[in-house]
Amino acid sequence: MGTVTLGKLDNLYWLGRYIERVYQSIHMYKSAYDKLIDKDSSVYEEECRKMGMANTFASAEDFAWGIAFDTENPLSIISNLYRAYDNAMIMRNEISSETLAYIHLALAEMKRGKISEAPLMELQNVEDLILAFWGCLDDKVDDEGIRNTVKVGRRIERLDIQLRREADRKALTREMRRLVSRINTTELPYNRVALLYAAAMVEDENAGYEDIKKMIWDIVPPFV
Amino acid sequence: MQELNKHVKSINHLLERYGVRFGIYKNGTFKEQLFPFDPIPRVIEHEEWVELEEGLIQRVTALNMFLKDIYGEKKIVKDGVIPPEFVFSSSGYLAACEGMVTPKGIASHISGIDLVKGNDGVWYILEDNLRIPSGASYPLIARDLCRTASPATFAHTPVEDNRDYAEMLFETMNYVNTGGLNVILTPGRYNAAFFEHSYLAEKTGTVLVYNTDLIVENDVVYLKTAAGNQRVGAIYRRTSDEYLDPLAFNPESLIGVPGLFQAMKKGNVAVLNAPGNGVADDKGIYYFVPKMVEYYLGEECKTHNAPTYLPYYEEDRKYVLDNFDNLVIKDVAEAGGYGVVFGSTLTAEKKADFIHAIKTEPRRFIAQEIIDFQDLDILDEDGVTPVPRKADLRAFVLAGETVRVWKSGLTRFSRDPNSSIVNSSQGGGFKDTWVLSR
Repeated sequence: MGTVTLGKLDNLYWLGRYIERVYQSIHMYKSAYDKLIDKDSSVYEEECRKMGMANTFASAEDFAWGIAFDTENPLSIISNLYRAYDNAMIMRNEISSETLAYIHLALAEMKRGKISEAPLMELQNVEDLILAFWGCLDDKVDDEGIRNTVKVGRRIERLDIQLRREADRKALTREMRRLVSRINTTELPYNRVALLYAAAMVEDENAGYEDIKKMIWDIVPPFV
Repeated sequence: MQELNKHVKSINHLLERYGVRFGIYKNGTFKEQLFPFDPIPRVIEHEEWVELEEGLIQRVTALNMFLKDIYGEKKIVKDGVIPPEFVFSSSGYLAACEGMVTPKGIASHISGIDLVKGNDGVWYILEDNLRIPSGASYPLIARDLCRTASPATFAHTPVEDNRDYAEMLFETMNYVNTGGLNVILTPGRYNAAFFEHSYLAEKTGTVLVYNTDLIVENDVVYLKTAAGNQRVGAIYRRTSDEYLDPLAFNPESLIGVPGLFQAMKKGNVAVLNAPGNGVADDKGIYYFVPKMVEYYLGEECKTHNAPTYLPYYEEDRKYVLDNFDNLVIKDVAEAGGYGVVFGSTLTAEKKADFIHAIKTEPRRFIAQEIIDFQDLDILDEDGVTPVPRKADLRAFVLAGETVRVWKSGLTRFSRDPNSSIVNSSQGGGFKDTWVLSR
């Protein structure tokens, strides 16, 4: 990672975070959408709560479209995919054109989903393309530090989402161990104390999810 | 060659996959769009290319000698070959560059020479671009994708492989490198040619940097990395002169590197292309390029300028005013297809305004005969029917240890049947350029 600037480390890290956010959001969305088909409109109110967003949707249909495809909503899936794209496109020579191509393709699928009558099909394709992105990153990027910086972003994002959704401790512990094993191989300026505390808190049944979440946020503080 | 047409959908899909786009500002908003690609290539016969190549090498060699002379001894002005008004009143002339000595004496490392082929079979130079000419990445990636979509086409046609551009660029950077990293300096993500910057960085294996990634200490440029500062030896900058260094040029620039110009003047870093090159690709100076060739090289100029008139000279001004409707008038301060008007298309009022401007500011304009240049076929919107459109060619000439012409180029075409303006910013598309190897 000899010639990676701090600015690019930040882009790599946030690329991992946003792409994971999109991936996890699609999973949640598919589950909620399925329930909405059966007219269970209370679902979307609960989803808003879990995602930490204000319920400004007029109806279940409005929610279903807006949360996935509304580019004006910064929390929508498409907006997060655009943020991933913004970070990825300036990292072409770090992650390679082949890896970047999966983000381009995912964005193109997402745009198609916007006008589709059965958008879950396009979202499935986006999910597949994200998995291909991770595979390509492993295959095409020789620099372990670069790969792991993106993956640290992924792990932190996943932990954050799991904590919001009150996942069980086992899942949290597994994610935390993955994070600990990767972060040392990067040049990210991370907070070692916060990492140790967070790791301990995840395994401590008495530690509250809100407190763990705050500690997770402190692991990689803004550094650019 | 026809084989490629059948694969146009696959090729366009691949172009989308790899994000082959350019940025454009419309009504103050930045938008990215796919650069329309036409699969029918421009084909240049081997013998024709050899002749063209010789002329381009000669031209760029003379232009580099001119740049060295202008910021040095100014012999060409002293000897009365070019009037001083055309040099020192040019917006591209930078007084700050006086006395500057560039590494290995090269100022224009990457030159983009725009040409058209007339119906008389002659290639005419439209303009020289010696500042930050862009466009090489498009035929470079298009060739790669076309070979993927239709390998048979290339198996049966003797086309020069153009995928050596990155290697040529890398060698050029290495040749002038003063010791340290090679980097490509981009103005940023919202620059129209950002795709090209990132793609060339990947292909050359150099580091793509923003201005904030660089720091100048004791007149030496460093890249700030997570592992510490690393010395930079060559910068392929894609930021225009005025924004390159706020301490030397526009003090309000937020995309420049403070102190870079001084580091360059001290010979501690090579900047490709050197600042100040605008004086040589000024539309007014274009008129004098054949004279430069004769002056510096003692040879007859092998490239052909479009017949050009300078209203600055009384005789030419009279001709321009007498033949206004038959000429194309160009404002020397404009670029990108802007500031170009065809005399015959103006309203009486606009024509009067232009004539007034030519009389009062003759140095601001040049006038050229309208070249009857060849159309090239492109596929119509149905993807099947060939239709003729105006097209030009940007040839890339790289000056390093030797001066070489890339055996390809960017062929741009107008999508509007009634227009000769081929620029991407005005809706034009692009083609690959095939140079036949035998």
